[in-house]
Amino acid sequence: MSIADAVARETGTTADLQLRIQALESALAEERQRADALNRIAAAIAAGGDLHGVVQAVVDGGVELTGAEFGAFFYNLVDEQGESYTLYTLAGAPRSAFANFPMPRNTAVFHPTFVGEAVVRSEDITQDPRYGKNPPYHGMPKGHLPVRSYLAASVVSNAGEVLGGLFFGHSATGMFGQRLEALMDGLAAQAAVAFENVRLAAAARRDATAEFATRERLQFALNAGRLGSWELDVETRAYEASDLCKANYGRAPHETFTYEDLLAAIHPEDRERMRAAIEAAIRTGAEYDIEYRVLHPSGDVRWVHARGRAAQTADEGGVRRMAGVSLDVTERKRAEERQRLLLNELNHRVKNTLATVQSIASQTLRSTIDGHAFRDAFESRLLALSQTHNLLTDRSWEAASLRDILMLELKPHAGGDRFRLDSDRDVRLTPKAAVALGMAIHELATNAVKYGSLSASGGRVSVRSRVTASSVGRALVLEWIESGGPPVEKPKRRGFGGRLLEQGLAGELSGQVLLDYRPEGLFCRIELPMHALEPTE
Amino acid sequence: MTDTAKLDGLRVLVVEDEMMVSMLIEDMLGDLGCTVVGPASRLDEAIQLAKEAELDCAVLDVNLGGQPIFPLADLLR
Repeated sequence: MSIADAVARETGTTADLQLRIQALESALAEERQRADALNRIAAAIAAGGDLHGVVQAVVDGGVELTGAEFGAFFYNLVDEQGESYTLYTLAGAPRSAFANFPMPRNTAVFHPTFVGEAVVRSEDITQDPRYGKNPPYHGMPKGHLPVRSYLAASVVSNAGEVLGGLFFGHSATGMFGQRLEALMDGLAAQAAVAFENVRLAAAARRDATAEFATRERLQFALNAGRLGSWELDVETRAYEASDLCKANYGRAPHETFTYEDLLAAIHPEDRERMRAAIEAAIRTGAEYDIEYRVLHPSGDVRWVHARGRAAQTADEGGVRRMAGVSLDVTERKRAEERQRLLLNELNHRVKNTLATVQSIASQTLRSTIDGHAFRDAFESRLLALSQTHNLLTDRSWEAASLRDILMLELKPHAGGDRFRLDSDRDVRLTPKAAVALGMAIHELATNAVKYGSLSASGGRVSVRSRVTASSVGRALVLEWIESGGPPVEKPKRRGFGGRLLEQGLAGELSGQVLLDYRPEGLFCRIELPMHALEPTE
Repeated sequence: MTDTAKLDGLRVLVVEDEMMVSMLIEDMLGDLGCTVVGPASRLDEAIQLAKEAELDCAVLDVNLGGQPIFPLADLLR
């Protein structure tokens, strides 16, 4: 049975039927148009994009749906002047139509929309009891769009916040029927969804940007400090290491580096200590802070300082996840080691020097007849020792020159032509050799000045220095030849100088020393292997 | 001094590579009435002395120019 038949049966007349069919068809077309408009709005909202485009689609659709001449969306703004609406988008009128007016305020007409109450619909707003109640305009300002028919709805977020209002107007009265109220509710709800979507997307973008910035900063700080970062899942022992962390263990960024790899990379002598430390940190939640040696795949041994702490607590208590940093501290460790060695060396040298001074004092005391003689001899020996130290200090205690030592001892006693040095080459001496030779030459010089050739006006000292091949490799042969002094006799008792030369120097530097008390002048031949004299480079 | 009496006549090996220290020890031991064997300043020299000479005790420098004295100490034990 067709619609026409059904209608005919009910009403009886065909003409009447035609009229009704026309009415139905026009209603249907109107519904279709409305459905199309709603679809377009829904599609615009679903497409997302910028807030302005979406709101414009809502206002345009609203104008179409209501048959309004103009439509607008104002968003709610709370400032120091109280609540006011700010024009956001407009349809059916140029934006300039609002340019000269202040934005709508919370007046009696606008109040329900401001506070999110029901839809306001008026056949003629100028006749509404709420109209014209507020200064300064008491109604629409002069030049306002000619609004008579009026329709307004609040756009309210899920949380109940009034985001703004949708407003539609027409210059004729009675243009908006009651059925539009429900439609307005729907439209306002859709606008609210659109707003929320766009806001959420923007907030998500902001969060993502902020998180990215935070990560960037963290990464920058880690890189700048050459800090690797790591995480350990306590239960599964899943280990995650950053590129820099892997680098601390000699691994490339693309290489896998598991907890087992980490343990294997730690020096066997440090591994148990590290394992105990991390297990203790896991058990007690205490800070994990340890330095250990690691073996790089290249064979290098480096020092790593690792720190960490519980990053997540397990449900049953205890540590679920650990996170921390690692830093290559090899340079610092080497510096500490150097410092330790230097301190030990310094300690050794100071003790050694004190023992030497003690020995000089004791032996000087044995070989001098009174306090006065002791003081002279002791002071002069200490001075000689101190001068050798100065020469060594000038060269960072690495070496001193044989020529410098000879000149230092002889120059003050034998100026001009009384001292001759005949040397084929200078010899660099280790600190030990320099101190020993310095003292030996001091004894020879002192003896020459007191009893030998330099005690007489015409006496001389000639020193001949040669580096020669010998049965035990190259050797320094130093000959001390005195002449022009008083006749020499071999002393009845060997003194400090003789003992130091023949026994001390020869013993300490693995060489041979000959003291020949020739009547025409003392002759001393010192032969020392070069390996005992020269520093190893 | 009672301690001196105990040390009197002992044959003591002295191994020391610093000449001044070596001379000091030698003098001190001499004052105590000991007979000094050496002093030696090198390990090979000291080992030779230890094998040849009759010794009652020894005064050893632990580090002999970078060489540890322990091989000699083991020999003396």
